Amino acid sequence: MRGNKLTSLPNQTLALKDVSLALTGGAGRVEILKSVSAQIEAGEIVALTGPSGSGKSSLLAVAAGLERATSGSIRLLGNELVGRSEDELARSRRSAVGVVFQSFHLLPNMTALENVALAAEIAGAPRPLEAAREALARVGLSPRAGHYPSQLSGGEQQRTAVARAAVARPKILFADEPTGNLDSASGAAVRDLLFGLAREDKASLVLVTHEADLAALCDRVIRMADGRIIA
Amino acid sequence: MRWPIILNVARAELRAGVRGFWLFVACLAIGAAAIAGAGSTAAAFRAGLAAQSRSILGGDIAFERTQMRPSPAMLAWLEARGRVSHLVQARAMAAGPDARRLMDIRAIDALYPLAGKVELESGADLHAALAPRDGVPAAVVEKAALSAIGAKIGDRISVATGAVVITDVIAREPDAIGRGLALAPRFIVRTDALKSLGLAQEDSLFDVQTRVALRPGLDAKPVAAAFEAAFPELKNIVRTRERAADGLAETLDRLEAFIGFVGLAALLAGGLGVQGAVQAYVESRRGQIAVLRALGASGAEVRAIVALNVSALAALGIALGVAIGASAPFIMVAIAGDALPLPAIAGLDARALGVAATLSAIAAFAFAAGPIGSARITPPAVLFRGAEDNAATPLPERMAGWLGLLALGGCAALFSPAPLFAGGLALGAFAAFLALRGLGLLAQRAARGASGGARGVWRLAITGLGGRGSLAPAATPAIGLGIALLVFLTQLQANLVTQVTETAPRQFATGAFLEVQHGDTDAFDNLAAAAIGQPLAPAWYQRAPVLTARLTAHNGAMLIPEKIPIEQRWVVEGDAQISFLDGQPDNFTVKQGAWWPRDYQGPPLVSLEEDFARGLNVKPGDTLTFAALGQDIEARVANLRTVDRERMGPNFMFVFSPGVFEAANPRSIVLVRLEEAPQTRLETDIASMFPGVVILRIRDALEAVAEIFQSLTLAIRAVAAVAVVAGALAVAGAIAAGARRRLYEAAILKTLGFTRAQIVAAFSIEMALAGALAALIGAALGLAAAAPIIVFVLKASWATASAQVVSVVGVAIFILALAGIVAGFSALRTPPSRVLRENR
Repeated sequence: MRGNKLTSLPNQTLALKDVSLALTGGAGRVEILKSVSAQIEAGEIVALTGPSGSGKSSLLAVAAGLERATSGSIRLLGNELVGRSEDELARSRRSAVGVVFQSFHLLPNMTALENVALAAEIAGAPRPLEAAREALARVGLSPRAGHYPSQLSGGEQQRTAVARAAVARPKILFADEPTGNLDSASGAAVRDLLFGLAREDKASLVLVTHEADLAALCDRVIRMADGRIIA
Repeated sequence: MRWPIILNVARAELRAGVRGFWLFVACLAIGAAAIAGAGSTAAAFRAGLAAQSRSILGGDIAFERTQMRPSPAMLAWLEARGRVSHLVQARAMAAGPDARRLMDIRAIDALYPLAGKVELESGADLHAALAPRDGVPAAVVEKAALSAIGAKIGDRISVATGAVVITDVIAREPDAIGRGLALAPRFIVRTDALKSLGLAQEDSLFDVQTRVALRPGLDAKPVAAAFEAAFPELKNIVRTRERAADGLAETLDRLEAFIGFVGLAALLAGGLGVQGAVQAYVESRRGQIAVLRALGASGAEVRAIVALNVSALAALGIALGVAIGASAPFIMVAIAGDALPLPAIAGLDARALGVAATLSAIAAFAFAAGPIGSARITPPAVLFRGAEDNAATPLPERMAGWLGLLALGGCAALFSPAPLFAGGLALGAFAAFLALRGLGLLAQRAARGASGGARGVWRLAITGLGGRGSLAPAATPAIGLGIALLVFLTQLQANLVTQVTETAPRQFATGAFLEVQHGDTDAFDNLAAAAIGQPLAPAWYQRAPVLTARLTAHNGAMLIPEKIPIEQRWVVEGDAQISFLDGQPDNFTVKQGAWWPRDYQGPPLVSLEEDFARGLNVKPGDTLTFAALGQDIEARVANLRTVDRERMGPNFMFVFSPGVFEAANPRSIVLVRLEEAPQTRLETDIASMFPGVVILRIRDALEAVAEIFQSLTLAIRAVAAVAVVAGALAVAGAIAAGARRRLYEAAILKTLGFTRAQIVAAFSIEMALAGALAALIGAALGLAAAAPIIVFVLKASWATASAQVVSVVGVAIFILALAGIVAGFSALRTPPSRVLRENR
């Protein structure tokens, strides 16, 4: 476990140092992440685990640039994320990062192919439709390419989401409870897909999960509690 | 900005349909339809008037003078350039088998009409119908004249001091438009009948219209200018086709501006519906927007996607509204046709439709900018922790919204045919809207503070009114604006009707006798005293000499009509009735300067009304020059006065000191204030002793005016309904947007043990309170706007028509209470267990 030690190895994909996240709401200021440091190396598959409210999804969000950290340093593929604007973070995500959510979050008014092609287009792929078809083929969904999310099963929707995350062949994939909303068979299929794609593309994979079996399959497990890495 | 991506996502979103957006579309369509309809209808009337302008004017150029025929030199000048026709117009009493009534006599020459055609009901030729019958002059009359005096075709009736035979009924006069409010029906006779009828004599009141059909090749404008140059005394009164219906054109402008204002009010009220709908749309898409952000779309790209979708729907609403507005003149012409008060040529008026589309688009932008901005700042973190704290509007978009509102007001004024009038109305609408919006927010805050003091369902209702999803901030301006307009218009109407039906007969003259000859005044006074059986007193009998004069110069400088405010312009463009009095009448109050001493015999002095003098920039001590009795008369302004309109008395624009006009032996006007029976007795005696005297039954005229005001009821409500409906749509949208909150609240309340009835009652009370608040504030604004107009502009006494206010407020409360009941039952349809599971 290299949870709390920051090194600057050239093959590091992600390096977090003393990252804090505090949110201010109706209940006042709440510290979500407290001085978290961690590194993810190229091609490494890491599980983030911990009880509800421990901050694992928040850590994934700040690491992926989906949420702005309050302080600290986050270097994603050598680029510092802390202190950047929302639009700068968006630009840095386009081709470098893929994200899979527990609730799939496909755009309901686009077909599976269009959902994946949109991500490819935003990432700047020269031929987004071709890239999307290829990505759907990789997740075994070519026959369902023209279907809308509402016409797909939960497992198929998540596979589409995986295809969308992987279409630009990013250097790092983030997955937040990717199997949490699926039955065990679909969950296993999605897990295999994610692992397979990451290894095939030599991409890092960071996934948040409650499932011990899934965590056990990863190269490394980071355990969190109360906004800190504990192991 | 990567437009292919933006277009791609926006297209996919639109492809999914516009479900839930019909209120958005309707809110824009109704305002656009009102503005487009007003502009298109006014354009249709303008086109109709322009097409018939030659008939309306009666030729290519025309002018009218009081008590004066054109000089031989003028006639020679005009006849060298075309055919010249003269009309003489006078008023006289006509006596039929049933009654004596005032008639509007028009005497025509052989050339009349130079343009257009007079149509008679029998289809006969006008001049043939006017040929004398057995030496008695013939007359063709309006149908109303026959019923007024109980006569029929073929009857010989007395008119003024002579007699005529009625030979036909007028079906259509080419130049009838522009006659204004005709209180007396028309009689047409030949000019050679005037002498036998004793009309249009040297010292009586009559007008002579001279009309010219120019020779082919001659252009009216330069001819009119050359004519005025050759005869300076006619300056400013010669009209060409462009000015055939000056007064009507101005009325049309104001009517268009007013209905345009109602459309603007509808856009403001409906704008809240637009804002609510876009806000709800953005809220419902918050997750998808966050996904786009997570995929790497920039804030500007997200904003462009939402803006494109909103623009497409706005375009749909605007197109629908503009199409409805564009069809208005076609429908009007198809349904009303010849019954229309003005000629109309239905057509598509690009300017009117363009203005409606532009104003509606600006309104859509102004109200949608904020919610669209809130989409831009949606962070992808929404996918992890919801969007509650991200609904704020960023400053640039909020500023853009305010600038949009400013542009809306500015353009509404700029594009209007009466910019100042429309600008004033727009300012009023914005002030009312902002006041209502502010009061709605205050009410929400007050409810938040007051909820602790209530119990049971009242506590729930007041908490709802003070809560985040409160209806008050939207309902107060949306409904309040429409109700303010409705109350404003109905209160004006009710006060005017009360004024003419109740106040006026109690305080003003009930009858007038015109054309009392100078030599008959003593006999007339004696007859009046004898008929009523009491000595003459100013309280019921007042007599004053009447002449006409036209104001031509102020302090020696010629007055130019274009430089004079529209309200005062008529005294320069035509003759005004004037009088001369020795003592100061009871209904005059001198505000500046002093009234002349009794038996004053010095140089001419003149008194005029203070408000009117202010418009002309005239002060005591200034000199005014008048064209009267064929000469220029210069008078010094002795005083400026106000007139108490609630007391009977003379009310001439210009009142001169004695010693100026006596030599002209002018005729007099007599005003009386009497009960119905003695007035009728007096009229009968006067008619038999003085057949040339014109009897004006002011009581009847007031009733006719009251009837006209009453007949406007439907039109007023229809106009105000446009804004009310737009506001109602906005509130319906706000209620629909709160459906999810109510569903959740109802589920929780049920699990806590509230009965269905209690839950429905709580929602109903909450909405009824919002309705009451909106209606009461709106009504108060309407009253506050109407009262000063009655008191200060019309200088009449104000009385609130309470029943109308109460009914408007009551209906608003009832409808919203009903909406609350419907919303309550709708919220109770889903079992609480399912609702709570889905809203964990």
